[in-house]
Amino acid sequence: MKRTTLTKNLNELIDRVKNTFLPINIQRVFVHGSYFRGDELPGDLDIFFCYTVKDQWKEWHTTIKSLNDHYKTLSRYHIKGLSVSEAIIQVSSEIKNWNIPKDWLTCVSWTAIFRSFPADAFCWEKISRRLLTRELKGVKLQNVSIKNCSHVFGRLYLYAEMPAFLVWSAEEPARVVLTPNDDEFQGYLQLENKILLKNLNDAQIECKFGRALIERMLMQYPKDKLGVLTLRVFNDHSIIEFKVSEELLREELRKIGLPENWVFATGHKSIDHRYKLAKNIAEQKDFEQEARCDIVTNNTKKTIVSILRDCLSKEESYGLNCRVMPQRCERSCVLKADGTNLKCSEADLESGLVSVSVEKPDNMLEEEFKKQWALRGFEVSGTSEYLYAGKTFDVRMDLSRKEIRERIINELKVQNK
Amino acid sequence: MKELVTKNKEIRGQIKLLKTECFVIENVCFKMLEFFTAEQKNSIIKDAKNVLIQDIDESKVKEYLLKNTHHISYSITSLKDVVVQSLGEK
Repeated sequence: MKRTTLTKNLNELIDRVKNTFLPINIQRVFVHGSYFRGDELPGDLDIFFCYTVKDQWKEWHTTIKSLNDHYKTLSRYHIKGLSVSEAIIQVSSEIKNWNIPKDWLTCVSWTAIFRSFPADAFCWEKISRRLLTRELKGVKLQNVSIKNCSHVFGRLYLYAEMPAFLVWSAEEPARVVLTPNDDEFQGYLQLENKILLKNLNDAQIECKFGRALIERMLMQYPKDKLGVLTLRVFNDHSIIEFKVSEELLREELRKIGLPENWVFATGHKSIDHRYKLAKNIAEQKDFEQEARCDIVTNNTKKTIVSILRDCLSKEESYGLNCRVMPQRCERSCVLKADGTNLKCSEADLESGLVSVSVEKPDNMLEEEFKKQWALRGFEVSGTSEYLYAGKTFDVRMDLSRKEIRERIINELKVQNK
Repeated sequence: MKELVTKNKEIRGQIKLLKTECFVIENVCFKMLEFFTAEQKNSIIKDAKNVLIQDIDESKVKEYLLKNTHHISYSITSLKDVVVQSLGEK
């Protein structure tokens, strides 16, 4: 990221520390990492802050806990399509002495609310972090207890063997220092180099031990088992990002002389166990079994490429080949069916059926409910009763119907473009 | 100051390369070790440790292995026990 952008974000963050009403008192804000070292294009802005939780938090949390009694109501608002804050504001009128700032309610998602109990989604850490870094790209915030932080000299501190530079403190709130003096910068580098040397020594031993292990293993390893070493690259970003990285991977493969069709695309594991070899969707071919996979990584593009190069250079010594297999994001589209959103994926399209759980209104008879959905082309099956919602039914739609099928195909085509 | 910055970059580069190699090694080890019995694993680890001791002070090796068994064992739970056991026998 551009240094100027990160500087702007750092200033904005400090403004937020000073002016935002948070569940914690931030006492110090530190910077370390590539931004501090003066890199022109730092990867991110590494910040940590020392804090104490406000005494009032206990009181706030007791109020928030009351949300657990309104699980069912919240669920209904969720189905209606309200945002978390809108739903909680509705519910809060029934809670005694509700004094939670409205801003805090926007820090929590529906997923977090329904993961366990609503109150569990609210913790001071999550709220503070969200309020401080919202819409600030590249800011990596880490919170540490003030006890673990020791002063070295000037504005230089040490936390868990990590040197850090103090940019702001509650003792001098008006003073923001983004640049260290020469002594502080020198001290920082000396401390960091000392720590890095220790890490380097550890990495050298680790590598040496690993190499020795592999050498010994190869002596005894059953020859018929030496096969294809598969590198699976998990990529759970959006489809567009994936396409870019897939192309980059192919380019890298071409550069280092590996066949580019070694790039695999896979279906979503939980839905479809078949694996697809694909340059594009039209050319995909199904495999009955999962390809053998020796390396699984979710590392970044850069690391993947370096691992690739490494695998290639080590190919002879390990007697193993290398294969790259990025996981393709599941393409899906949303079908709007009479007020109900049905998420439909390519796997559903293949299986010819899509289903969704729908809650039956309390005042409606089961027969009437089934009849209404049948009129819309849905089949109603299995029921489940949840604690937080009423009786729900699995409502399924047969996707072999021509007009539905065409709608999904068109929708997916737009996304693939 | 310039020297310190250069040194910093140099060490970072070296660590990155080694970490990448370690990552590949870990994964290969993980797959390959599946084919060995506990006894074979034990002897392989002992041998590998002896290679290390030729160049590096034994106490440092021992300290490193005990501290970092989770690294080299990756997700192989039994390897940690084997490493610890083999160190104990020495």
